[in-house]
Amino acid sequence: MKSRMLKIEGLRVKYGADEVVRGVDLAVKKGECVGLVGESGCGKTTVGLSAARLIDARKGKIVSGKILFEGRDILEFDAEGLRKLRGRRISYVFQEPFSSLNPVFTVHEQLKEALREKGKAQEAISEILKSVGLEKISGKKNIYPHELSGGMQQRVMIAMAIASRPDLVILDEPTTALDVSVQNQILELIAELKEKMNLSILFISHDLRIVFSMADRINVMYAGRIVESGPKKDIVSQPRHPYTKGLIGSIPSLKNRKKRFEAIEGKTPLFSDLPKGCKFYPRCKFRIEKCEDEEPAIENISGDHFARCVRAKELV
Amino acid sequence: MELLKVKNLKKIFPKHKVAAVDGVDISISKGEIYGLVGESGCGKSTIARAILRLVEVQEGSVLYKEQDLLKMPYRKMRAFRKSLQMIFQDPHTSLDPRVKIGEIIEEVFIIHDNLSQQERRNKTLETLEMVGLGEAYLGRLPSELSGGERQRVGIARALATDPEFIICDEPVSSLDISVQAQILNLLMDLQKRKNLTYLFISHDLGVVGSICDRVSVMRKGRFVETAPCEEIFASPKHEYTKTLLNASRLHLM
Repeated sequence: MKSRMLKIEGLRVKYGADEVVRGVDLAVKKGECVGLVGESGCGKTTVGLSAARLIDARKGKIVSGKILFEGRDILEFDAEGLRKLRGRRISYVFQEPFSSLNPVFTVHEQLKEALREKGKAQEAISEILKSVGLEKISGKKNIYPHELSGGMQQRVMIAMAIASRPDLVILDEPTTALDVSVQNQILELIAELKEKMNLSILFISHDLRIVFSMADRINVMYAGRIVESGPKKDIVSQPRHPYTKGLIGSIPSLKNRKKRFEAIEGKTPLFSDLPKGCKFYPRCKFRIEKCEDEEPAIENISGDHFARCVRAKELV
Repeated sequence: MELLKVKNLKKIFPKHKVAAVDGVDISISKGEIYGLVGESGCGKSTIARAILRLVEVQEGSVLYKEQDLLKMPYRKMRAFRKSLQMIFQDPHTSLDPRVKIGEIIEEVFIIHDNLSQQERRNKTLETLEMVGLGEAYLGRLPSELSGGERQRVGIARALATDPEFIICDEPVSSLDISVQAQILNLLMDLQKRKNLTYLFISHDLGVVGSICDRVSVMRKGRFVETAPCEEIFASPKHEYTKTLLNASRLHLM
């Protein structure tokens, strides 16, 4: 069995009075890509930021839980311990490459900083730029971020993320701001690097299509909790939670051309005003009376497949 | 019946000297959803803007019910604007942040119709209800709405003039996939109910394939392939279409 790279246990995070992560368990094994999927505002980014201890302390606070990186709880790390962890063992790629790169420094300078290498930096930078498909600019020292397209900028971000040969990369909507065809190239690059470097990846996205094509395991998140998790093939072929079914129904497909989507009606609830029972109850097509009063526990469906729904076993 | 016919449209932006739109022909029938797909910068939005004369072109004609919109005096064009509307991509920047939702819609009736205040109010509410927003939204500001709700306001604003033809310029590309499905459902429902004609612009072949009747694939200002949707998905002819198809991950579903 592969060893656990990252294991999150009972994570709770609050922004002010709102608890936006309400007890999340999640694990990423060595060399595995785990998807975390859900709509905007479900708390998925907060989980990702927590895993790298990047929650802005002025805004939010990890209230309880454990974040075990190779078995050690990083919530107990001091500043020096975190410094050695972030950017070296764990790196993070954000959604918008342009706002993540510093506009007043060259790509070269920013990569040099990420590499932390003295002396032979130039060679290492060329090497890393080639590995992310940027041969074109690998010899050029004075290229600024604005001179690159969105796709190339995201390649630079990925180059920075892998520069220190990390073990875990957290990718937060890495292709959402990009065109479909560029998106595809970036995803292929990520898959290739994952194989080559045996990376463990936490892949965060609202788009199940992308998560399906990248992840080995999938976690579906709604209103601050995991509502379904399992191996990709189980989630694709036998989704049990009505929310997962709705997300799948929202994907454009040629089989149902010119037909209405099996969409999820309504919108995600505000964390300040969550329903009492199952948080998905107001939008659920399969709701029964019981759902209104009590939030169900997450239950085992089969093997490694779990769902948080009282009707999970009958909804095949 | 042919509703809109674009002939040999050509637009060169003086600064760039290359043709953003380089001799494009489109023919759209009444009640059809016509897809236009291509990557950022290929010229799709320029076509949309040229049809509505939001940019002036160097060459070509845009015949709407056999009248050339591009040769029309502005005053006459204004009457036509009622029947040709546009839904924009970004619901965050296409609504004035200081104006309440009710006023955004009501303004359309002030400009285009001669109605009493009471009639305007009634029509505003009626229009908002058509897109699934109720009375509670009248007094709200765009910032109080989610992305999906804002796009519904954008759709309501386009519907307010009771148009026949609507250009949807990437109407769902800034939305979450679940909200995207809701908005596409709404656009399909409205199309059926009012027998609307859409020119639907998107970079996502999956979206285009699921709602359009015919599609043109565009690259560098030109159409590389035009065909009924079923055909283009079953047997794409052009290499570029194949690349886009591959990228849209439809085979996975």
